[in-house]
Amino acid sequence: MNQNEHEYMHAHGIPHSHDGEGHEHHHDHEHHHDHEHPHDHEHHHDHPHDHDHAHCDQGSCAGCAGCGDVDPKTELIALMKYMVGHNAAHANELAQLAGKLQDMGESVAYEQVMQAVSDFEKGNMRLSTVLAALNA
Amino acid sequence: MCLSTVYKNEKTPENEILKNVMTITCENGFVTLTDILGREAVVEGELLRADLTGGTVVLRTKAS
Repeated sequence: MNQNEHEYMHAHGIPHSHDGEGHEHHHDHEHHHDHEHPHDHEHHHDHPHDHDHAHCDQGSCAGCAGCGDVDPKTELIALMKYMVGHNAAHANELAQLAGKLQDMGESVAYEQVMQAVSDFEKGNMRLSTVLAALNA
Repeated sequence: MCLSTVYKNEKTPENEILKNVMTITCENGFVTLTDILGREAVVEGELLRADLTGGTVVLRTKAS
């Protein structure tokens, strides 16, 4: 890794932002370096955290354990949960789009889009059922 | 899919930084990526290109 490029990865359950301001940086976890890593900049965190923290090589995530011990099934379930919520949001958007078609006098198109929304919601319901079973 | 895969400098498999990225924050020369599980990657660089329909984001890093 180039000495000017500072890249690290860590895992925890709470997304947060780095504000770049001067602030405290608490680490109470292991921190491994297997390379020279000079810093010519200040880099602070405003979030004390407790997790593995390893600098990774060029952002290559394949086979890297630096991301934390996330079970692949856990990741798949998180993705599915996201998709189900995302699909529901898109279904709502489509219903709004259909409403605009109706306002324009496009009643046939309105009916067809609403039928598509219904089908979409049925598919999403099926995904929800699978998700619930996976979480059980 | 509105989650993105983030690459540095060029969209190639070896340049992939993080998949399923939900949030991207650019601040003080650093780009912070957070994926669906809350995992973060912090890269020194800037946003170069975001293809939001293609779910692809490319960062320009200081050196590759």
